[in-house]
Order: sequence, then structure tokens, then C-alpha cells
Amino acid sequence: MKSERDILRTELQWTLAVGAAAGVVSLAILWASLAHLINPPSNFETIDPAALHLSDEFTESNLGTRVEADGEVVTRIVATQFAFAPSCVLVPADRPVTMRLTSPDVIHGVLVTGTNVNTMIVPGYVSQVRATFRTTGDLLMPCHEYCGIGHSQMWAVVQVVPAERFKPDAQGRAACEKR
Amino acid sequence: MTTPVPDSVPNAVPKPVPSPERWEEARLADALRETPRGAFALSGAAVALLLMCWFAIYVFVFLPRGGVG
Amino acid sequence: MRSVDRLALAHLQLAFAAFVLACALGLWQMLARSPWPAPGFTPSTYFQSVTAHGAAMAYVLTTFFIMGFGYFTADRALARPLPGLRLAWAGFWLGLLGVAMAMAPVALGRASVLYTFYPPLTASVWFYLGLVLVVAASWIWCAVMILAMRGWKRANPGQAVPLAMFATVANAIMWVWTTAGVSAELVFQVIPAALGLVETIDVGLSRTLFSWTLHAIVYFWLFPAYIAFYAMAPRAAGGRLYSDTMGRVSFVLFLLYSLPVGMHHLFMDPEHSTGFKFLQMTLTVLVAVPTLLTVFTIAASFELAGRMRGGRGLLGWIVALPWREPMVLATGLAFFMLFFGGGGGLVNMSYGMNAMVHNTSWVTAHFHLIFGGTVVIMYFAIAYDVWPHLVGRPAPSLRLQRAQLWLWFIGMMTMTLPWHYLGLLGQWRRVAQFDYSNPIIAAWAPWVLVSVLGGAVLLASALLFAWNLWSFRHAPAPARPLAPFAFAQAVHEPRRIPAALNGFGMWNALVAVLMLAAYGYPLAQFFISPPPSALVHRVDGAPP
Ligand SMILES: [Cu+2]
Repeated sequence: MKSERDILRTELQWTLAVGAAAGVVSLAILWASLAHLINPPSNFETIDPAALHLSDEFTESNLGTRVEADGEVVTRIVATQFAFAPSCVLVPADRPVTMRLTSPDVIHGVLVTGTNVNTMIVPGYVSQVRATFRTTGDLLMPCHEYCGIGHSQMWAVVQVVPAERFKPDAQGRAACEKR
Repeated sequence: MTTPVPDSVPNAVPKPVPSPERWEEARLADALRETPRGAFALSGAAVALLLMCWFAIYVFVFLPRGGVG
Repeated sequence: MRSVDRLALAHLQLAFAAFVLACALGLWQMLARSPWPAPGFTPSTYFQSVTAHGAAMAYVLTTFFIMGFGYFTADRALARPLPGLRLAWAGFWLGLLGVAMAMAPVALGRASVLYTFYPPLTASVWFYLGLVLVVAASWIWCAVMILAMRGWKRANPGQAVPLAMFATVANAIMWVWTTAGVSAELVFQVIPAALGLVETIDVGLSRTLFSWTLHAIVYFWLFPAYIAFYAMAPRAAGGRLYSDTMGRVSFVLFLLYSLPVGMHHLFMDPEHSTGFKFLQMTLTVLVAVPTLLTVFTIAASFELAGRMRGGRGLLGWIVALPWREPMVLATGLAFFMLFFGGGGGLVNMSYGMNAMVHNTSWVTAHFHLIFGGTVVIMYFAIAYDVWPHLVGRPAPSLRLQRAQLWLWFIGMMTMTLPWHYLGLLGQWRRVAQFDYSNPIIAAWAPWVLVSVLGGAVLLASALLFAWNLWSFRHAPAPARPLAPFAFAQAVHEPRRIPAALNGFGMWNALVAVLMLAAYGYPLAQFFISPPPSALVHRVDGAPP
């Protein structure tokens, strides 16, 4: 009859197989992280949620998409109970976009349907996601974290347009096209 | 169930065997000879299938959605 | 009826009463989110319902089931009087008081913050105080379990603690560690805010403290299912546990790796940078190991049983198993659901890949399948197994028990497979209703409706479960007393056993080291350079 030692030997063989499987998955995760640059949002930056209107960056007139002096496309969004400002942002396809989001009140979160864009928006912090949108069209950008009774009404649109239709004005600002 | 062996332990034990405990030990030793060949096959197949599904989502859904960070 | 059996029964009945009510709320919530109408729907009633559903399932069903099953296990596995029986009863009444205190403001619509709180949203203070009492009651249970094992070891020096009790105490110790995070959040941050003592909350800190609890709490819920796999199912299948040692190793690994991994819930959060997210992702990979060890050990135990019943060939033992036994059937269905639920979890924990699914229906599907599926179906099987011994009557109908288990399985798969798919399409969580006039959302409708049907089957199964337990009352008393309850035997029962696999002293020290490494700096950062806090937002209608 199999002894305890024989039994443990079979368990050890299985453990090695499990370890190999876990190793393979870990390597694939590393590969996505290092070769495809798909990582959790890694920006660490604080901001006073009670004084967003006094900050240079998140004042109402500075929200939305803007091409910065160095050519970088930056979209700034404020998530509040229960709306996004602005409720529609225009971005060019096939060009890196930096999305910067923050909240003056409670926890919110966003995802953009059909992409890997996803971040929590925690009052006290600026969340930042870099992404390149490959498909054009109107993508949904809902608040995905419970933020109060009106949470379900809280969503915005990311309008992805081909490069030739992305025409920023003299200050570099670009807003959604009329629909 | 089409198995030739009785389903519940002591009542249906065949006559020639001395005691139910002894017989149970004999059946156990017998069953242990093959075990865990089947468990390896079953759980190995399950883990392999799981990895395949994970990689399918990884390659066909996740990577095409592009880099973020 | 013996007092300890009354104690166990009181806990289990309360757990299952909460469960059936929560199932009904769950179905109504699914209707609200579907294109079909839900009677009495407003956004307020929806979030009230979600809070009640989550709190009833996550805090009442689980905690009281685990306590009741723990008392039963201590009594039957150790075969000596339970120490602190009166203390245990005090714990029950304290917990019941806590449930009433927490649920009253929910019913009044003054605590719609869901069971995960989301400060700076702030509910009626009674909601939090009630939950603190439930946790305090569970700590009494932990103390009784630890005392029971100590007493047994003193009376049986050098002998191996029975595996079921070893696992129960592993869970009790893990639970004390687990609750430290949420307790600190409630006591130092949320309750002062609810009392109006402070005006702001450090939200990064509260999220980090809650994450401390958030993974291990799921393993707290899961332990009874694993105890059933190791210590009950092999016996029901007519065989032996393949390896008692591996059972102990797995339970120790759960204790170690359930805790320092909670930050995988914060992958998408801005208050932590990548270093600690990556560290805890690595530790999360390790928590898959004891689960996969269990899969193998239980498969081998079932193989042994099937072969002892005459099964032959590589997989012929599977058909030879006594699937008519509810415990065997539930174990099979539980592992089937574990395949999908575990696969979904593997995607969730995969670091960057989390961005694809975070806060989508994928995650809802994952934990309903793992907890509501794999774990709760084993709660049913455990209840069916122990009920005859608690009430002294045999089950009136095994056929109805099997039907109930099948219904639960079918309902759970029908509900959660569409949710996984919808999650990949981007359907987000915690929404009271969707605007089906939007073309993107309109395309989801058929899948949403399929999942509603699954929810209806689940409610039917929950009601049948309640009936199956209720109908014990009508069962005739047995002519002869029932054979005493016994846990499964292992192929080789442990005789001499290393102290490390017979107690938790050393493992506690290792948990402390791991927690310090995983959570030390992530928590300290909020005190080293405090970030700006957020203003408290009351949702209970009280003046700010
Ligand atoms: Cu929101």
C-alpha cells in the first residue's frame, strides 16, 4: 500500500506543475507590463479636493482636451456628484492621449468601453492614464464607482476622431463636435 | 450505476472475506495502486484548459485594447 | 436537544433567513437593471436594496454560518464539552443585536452606502455600530474556537488536532487579523465622521485599511467550503481523504497568503504607486497555490472512493462515485463553478489586465460565482449533512436536496456567464438602471435578460432550500437513533505530527512579517506625509 511518503511525493509533483503554471502566467503579466506597457495607473500626485477651483489646472476654463506646447494631448476632467465636466471630450485617434482626472467631493471612477482605460478617482489625488485610442467613434465613459443616489446618471462620452478631423484652436483647445 | 461492487460498506460485503474492516483495507490498498493517476489527468486537464482560456483572453481581448499606464 | 446543538442551530437559522431575503432582493435588483420593469423602483430603493443584499450576504449569512458550523465542528471533532458555552450564547445575542442595529437604518434609507461603505459618504452611525457588534460577536467565536483547541491539546498531548478543527482555528486566527483593517477604518475614521466629530476623512487611508480586510474576508467565507471538501466529502463519497498533511499545509497557506494581498483591489487606485501593487500581485499568485493543491487532493480522494466502488481506467472512477449523495454532488458542482470563478479571478489579479475588467460586471460575476456558487453550494451541503444531527431526524427527501443543488448551479451559471461577457463589453457596476436607448447599451439587453432568468432560478432554489430545512419538522422520528456524526478519515491518519502543522504560533509570527512587508509602508505613507482629506458627505439626511 502507498505509504504517506509516496502520497506526499505525488502531491509534490502536482505542486511543481502548479508552480510552473503560476510561473507562466506571471511571465505573461510581466510581458504585458514591460513590452506592451500595460500597467495599472501609476501616477502618484495629491491635490486639495476643496480647492480645485483655485488650482491652475482644474479650473473650469481649463477642462477638456488641449494640445500642450510640447505637442502632448492632455484631457482634464473633473468628476463630481453626479456629472463629469466636461461631459464630452474630443481626442484624436492613433495618438497618445494623457487623461488627468480628479474629484472635489467623493470617490468616483471611470472606464472607457472597449479600451483598457480604467482608473479610480479618489478625492485628494490626481489620477492619470495614458492611452492611445485605435477605433473612432463615441465611446462611453461612465462613472463606475458608487458615489451616491445619482450615480447611475453619471456618464460622459469620449469622442475619438481621425487625426484630420482633430482641429485644436489657437490655444490648442479642442471640444466635441456638435451632434 | 453499472459498477459490479456494492454501494454501501458493511451490509453487502461478499461472504468469503473475514471482516469488513479487513476487506475495506484491502479495497483501499487496491484503489491506491492506481490513484492518483486519474486525479493528475483530471486536475491537469482543468489547469491546462484554464491557462488556455486565460491566454485566449490575454491575446485576443486584452492586448488589442492597447497600452495604458 | 443539547445546548451546543441549539447554539449551532440558532446561528445557522439566522444565517439562512438573511440569505433567503437577500436572494429576493438580488432578483429585484437584476430586474431594475434590465429592460423589464421592477415594481417600486427608484434609485433610492435600488441602492437601499443593494446595501441590504450585500450586508446580509457578506456579513450575516457568512459570519453566522461560520460561527454555527464552527461550534458544531468543535463539538463533534473534539468530542469534549465546548468551553465558554455561555459566552458563545452571549456572542449570538450580541451579533443579533448588531444585525438589527445595522439593518434598521438600511430599511429607513439612511445607510445607502453599500456594504463596502465608500467614505467620505457617511451613513447613520447605527449602521456602522451594528456592524462593529457583529464583528465583536465573531471575535467571541474566535476566542471560543482557540480555547477549545487549546483545551483539547492539553488533554491529548502530542496528538494531532483533528483536521476539521485545525482548519476552523486557522480560520478564526485569520479572521482576527482580517478584521483589524476594517475595524480600524470604522473606529478611527468612519464612526467619528458619522458622529460629527470630524469633518474630513483621509480617503486613501480608508481605502487601504478596507483593502487589508477585503481579500482575506473572502477566504473567511471560503474556509467552511474547504473544510467540507477535506473533512466531509471524502466520507460521503465512500472513501478516504487522500492526504491529511496536505490539508493542513493548504490551510496554513491560506492563513499566510490571504492577508498580504488585499491591495490587488486597489490596482486602479491613485493613492499607491506601482511597487507595492506589483509586490501584492506576486503574493496573490501564491494564493492560487493552496486552491490548486486542494483541487488535486480532493480529486485524488474522490478517485480513491470511485475506485473503491469499482471504477476503472483513467477517468472511470468519476461515474462510479455516489452522485446521489448531496455532499458529493455539491462538491462536484462546486469545483465546476470554481473553474470559471477561479479563471475570472486569475484575470482580475493579473495586474495590468485588471484595467480591462475593474468595476465591470466581470467582477460581479467573478465573486458571485466563487462565493455565491462554489462556497454557498457547500454551505447548503454542510447544512444538509449536519441538520439530521442537530434535529435528530433523517432528511425527509434527498431527491429534493439534489434538485435544489442542481437549480442553484444552473441558476448561478445562467446568471454569471452573461455577466462575464457584459463585463468585457464594458458594462459597469453598481448602477441602478441603464439607458437602453443608447445603441451600445441596447446591444447588451438580450444578455441582461438571460441573466435575470438565472436570478429567478436562484431565488427558486433558495426557497426550495428553506423548504428542505423546514420540512425536517415533518419528518418522522427515526426508529433507531441516528449513527453519530463523523468527519472523513484520511488514508493515513496523522500520528506523530510536527508542531508547525498542529498549531499556529509560528505562522502568526510569519503573518505579522508578511503584513509588515506588504502593508507597512503603504499605511505609513498616510502618516509620513498626510494627503489632503475629503469633506464628509452625509447620506442619512442628518444636517451636516
Ligand atoms: Cu460618480
